[in-house]
Amino acid sequence: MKANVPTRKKIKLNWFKSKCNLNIEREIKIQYTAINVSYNKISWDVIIRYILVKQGGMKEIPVNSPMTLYKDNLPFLFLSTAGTIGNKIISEDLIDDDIKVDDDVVNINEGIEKVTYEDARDPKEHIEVRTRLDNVTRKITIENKLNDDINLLFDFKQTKDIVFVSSEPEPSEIEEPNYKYQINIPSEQKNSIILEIKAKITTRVTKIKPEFLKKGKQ
Amino acid sequence: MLIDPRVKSIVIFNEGGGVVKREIKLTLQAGNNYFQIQNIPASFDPNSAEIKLRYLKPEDKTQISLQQTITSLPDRKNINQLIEREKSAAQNIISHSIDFTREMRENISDICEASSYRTYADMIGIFDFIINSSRESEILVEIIYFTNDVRISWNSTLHVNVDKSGKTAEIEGFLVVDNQTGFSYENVDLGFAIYQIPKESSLNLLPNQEQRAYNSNIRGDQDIQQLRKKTQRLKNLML
Repeated sequence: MKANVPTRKKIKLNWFKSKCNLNIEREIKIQYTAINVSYNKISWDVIIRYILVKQGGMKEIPVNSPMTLYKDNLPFLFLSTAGTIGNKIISEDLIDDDIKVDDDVVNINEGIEKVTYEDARDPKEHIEVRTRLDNVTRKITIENKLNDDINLLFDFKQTKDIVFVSSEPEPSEIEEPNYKYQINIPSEQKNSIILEIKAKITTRVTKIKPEFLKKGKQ
Repeated sequence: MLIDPRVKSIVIFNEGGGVVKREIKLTLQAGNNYFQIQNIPASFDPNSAEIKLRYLKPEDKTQISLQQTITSLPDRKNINQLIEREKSAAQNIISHSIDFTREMRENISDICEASSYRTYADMIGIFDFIINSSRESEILVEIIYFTNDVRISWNSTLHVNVDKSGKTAEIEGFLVVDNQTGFSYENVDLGFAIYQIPKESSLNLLPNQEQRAYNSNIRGDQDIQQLRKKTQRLKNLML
């Protein structure tokens, strides 16, 4: 490509023009901790990314290149590229502000507490470890505020403290530790998932050993 | 002899800098022929400077040879002082002026703007070479060097026209070349590469930092791994 590059100037050159398929990927990633699993309400973000599958030869596009999406010749979204894989041009991840996710606690069945002891740094003390397994039911409601139907992937990831028990509906795909659900939500509609999980709740308190406690006045 | 070879091509890196290729046909006298290349920016990398001889006749291969190249960069401290002086002089012109007519205004603004943008990289470096020839002849000389100047870079910008179905689109890609250096390139072959010239500090400091980390045993293995250089392969878009 021949061009003039004058000093202290910016030049713009045509590079390529081609047709492409536009895929929109939406994803909700949920992972609880022993602390937030019992929260009354949690809000999660829906991550959206645009994938352009270009026709013709591949083009290597630098990361963070500005990308503007036009509809009816009007710009409606400004974003950047996150990378290219073959002939796929992948946009950066954005939070979809038009999809609302509310995660509410439905029920908590506290398990029986088991007390064990661990050594503390001070020989006169020990750590009292109280462990119980709670059954927690949570309802995740996803609201589509867009004018179009959407498909999204709901991805629950279990951890060593929070374990999946069951769900309504059943997961579409289980790839432990991930439980995935393909969800379709029509325009201006809601869809819910009820998750039943087992949470290992542990509390630790350092206490003086009984034999070192001062005896009360007799 | 002073020569000003034409810039034939430049491969620009997206993170700044590039590889410049210049070319000139030279007439050689018998003996040593000394050439000084003009318009070599001080941002050029003397280690990457290379001269390639393209022989016009097959018999020249044995009779013409490159004896040596001589490269040098201007002293950074002195040049920076000079630039600062120029900048303050330009400021004085503006602050002491009473009235500019239209023509004067443009001329003075050009001078002041040029001096305010000027940096060490806009100064002139030295790149000379000596060709040894056993007879009078002609030769094509290719000069190649890296410029380590982040003020010349490129980026791409994409326009995506989504159709009514929302399933397909037309994508238009543009290349935007930003040249804030003091050098112009006329009618050159442009190449674009995704590459970042390794920074001097990261190259020099890395082994010491690593060594210190191993010796003092303060950092974990993970931290040490982060200090290591990562591979960076140049991706050519078009040449």
